[in-house]
Amino acid sequence: MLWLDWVAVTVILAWACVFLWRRWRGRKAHAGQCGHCDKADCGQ
Amino acid sequence: MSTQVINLTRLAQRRVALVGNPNCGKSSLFNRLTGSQQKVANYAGVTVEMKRGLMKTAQGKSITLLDLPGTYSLNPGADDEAVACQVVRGESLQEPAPDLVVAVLDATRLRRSLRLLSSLRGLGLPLVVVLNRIDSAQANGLHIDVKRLEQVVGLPLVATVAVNAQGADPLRAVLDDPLAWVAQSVSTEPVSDDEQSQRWMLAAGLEQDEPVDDWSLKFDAVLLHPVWGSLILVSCLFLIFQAVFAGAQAPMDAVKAAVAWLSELLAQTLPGGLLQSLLIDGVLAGVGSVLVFLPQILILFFFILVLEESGYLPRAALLLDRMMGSIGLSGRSFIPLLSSFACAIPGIMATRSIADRRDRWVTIMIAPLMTCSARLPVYALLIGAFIPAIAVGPGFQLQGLVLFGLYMLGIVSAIVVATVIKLWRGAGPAAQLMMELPDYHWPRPVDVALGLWQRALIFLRNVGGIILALTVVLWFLSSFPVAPDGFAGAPIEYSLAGRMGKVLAVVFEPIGFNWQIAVALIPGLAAREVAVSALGTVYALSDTTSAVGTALAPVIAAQWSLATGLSLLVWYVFAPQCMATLATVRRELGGWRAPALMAVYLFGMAYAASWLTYRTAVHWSA
Repeated sequence: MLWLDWVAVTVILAWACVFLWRRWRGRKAHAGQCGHCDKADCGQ
Repeated sequence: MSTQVINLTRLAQRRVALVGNPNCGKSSLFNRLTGSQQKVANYAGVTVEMKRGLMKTAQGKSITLLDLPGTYSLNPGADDEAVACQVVRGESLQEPAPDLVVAVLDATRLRRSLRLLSSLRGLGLPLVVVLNRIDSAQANGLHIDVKRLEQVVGLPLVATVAVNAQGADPLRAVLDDPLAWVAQSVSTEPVSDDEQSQRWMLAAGLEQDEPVDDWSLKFDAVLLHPVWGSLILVSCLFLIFQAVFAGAQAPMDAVKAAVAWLSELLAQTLPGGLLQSLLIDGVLAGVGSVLVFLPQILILFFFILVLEESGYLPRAALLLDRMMGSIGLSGRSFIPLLSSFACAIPGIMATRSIADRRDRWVTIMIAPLMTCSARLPVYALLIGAFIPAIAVGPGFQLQGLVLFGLYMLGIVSAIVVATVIKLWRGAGPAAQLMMELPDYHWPRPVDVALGLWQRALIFLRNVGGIILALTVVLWFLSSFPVAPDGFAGAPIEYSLAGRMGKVLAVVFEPIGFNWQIAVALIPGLAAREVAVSALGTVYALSDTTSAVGTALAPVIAAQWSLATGLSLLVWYVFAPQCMATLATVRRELGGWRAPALMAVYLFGMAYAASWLTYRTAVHWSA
């Protein structure tokens, strides 16, 4: 079942890369986004 | 000016702006009407940006509600006040003038509220008046005849208590009245706002507002005393840091046990291979290492919320005004710097309330030296690993003392940097701190609980988002390429991350960092606490025999010297390991010069201080 391992790991890794890419794009669009939440001003 | 859109899929056509003095309860009313959860606190200057929300009238009509920063007049002094004035005057480039203004009056500070109302009348916009905090005014012995005041000012008036539901429904009903959307004619008689407010007060039978609260005066006599007040402030901070360590052990053990159980379960159910390694050595070792610090973060924020709600924080600002002046800053810098203890980003944005450009620049430059909550997992990990849990006095633990010392080191460094800037660029004009002191309140348990819940959600969202994603990527970089058979050393040393770490280790070797730390510092640039999860993953892959997922601290305690541990602690006091902060500085000050200067001076200080710490510790150990 080695191939299943590879599929699962690839899916998780792809999710991580897409997440980071979208966050990077979002941060560029809304510079100043807080590192602790997804809002421009998380109001902490 | 910047704006923020909250929970909106479609903006309604009609737009209503909430305008009032600082700390009169606009944001509480905004939250009540729109169902938002904007930050509210018992001091002025919490809202520095315009916020938008969607509300429904009693008849179900949609209205866009604008929450504007507080202002005392329509002649702004600072950037946040300018936002409010530009919007209501229709001078904002981003936001057209509202269709209606809701003037929020503070019933306990009626005279100055009416002064602003007088200015607002001159704008020629439809006005509805909200008399907020009517309960506090009554409790202070000020009885306001609401009907009479409504007749005197000649505008629709609703009495509210924004922190609970009272008044929200009558206001929704008023906004359904077509007459409310028609501007009232204003007398052409030339009367100053001061005089007008005085006339209204007299006509409403309110000769005296702002009744004196004896208890507030008694508390202030002690809490604002230069000696006793300062002692109480330092004692408060000291006790908070003791509690962070003393009260968190049991819940931290519970989180550790849960992570260990899950790790064991996965080891038994999944066959050995890539997926098992990713989930146990990557996700659980990394994310579990950070998750364990949630109880400590919540304890710290419990105390911050209680102090915030009680009205003590602006007193602390007043107390520190003299000291701030000696380093070339005004007490107005205190609130932004205080916000920076949660996160430097809202702290830097809060500097918009500082009118003097030079003061604002200096405050932004030193804000990252305040210990943000993202540093807490790193500090707690290293203190737990290298500082023995021994008592140094009755009820005082050494670990809590060291944490207190790290927070103080950040504050002292900020003072030194501000002083150097003062000497370099010269002192700005002496500006006295004018800050309204709110009444003391018992913190409402619901508000504190809600604040803690929001804090926990922010942390968990972070753990399940950026930390998890970076941990997965780091696991991949630490696992590939796979080491060939017969490779001497741990497989991670052959991986891409291992090789990068070994190259970077040359730079960090003089300050005692090994290649594993060098690897962890790179993803740690995204957010400081990611360094902890990265260390968890790197050590889990370095040593397959240890249960790093449940106990990273003993592993690093065994593998690092005390000098390395202390050096890394000091590194985190100074290093700007947060790209979002630098991006915010760029946005607030315009251009890359200021963030570049900030990065250079903070990394420089971090390297120098770590080198000094490491060399001193090595010398003493020898």
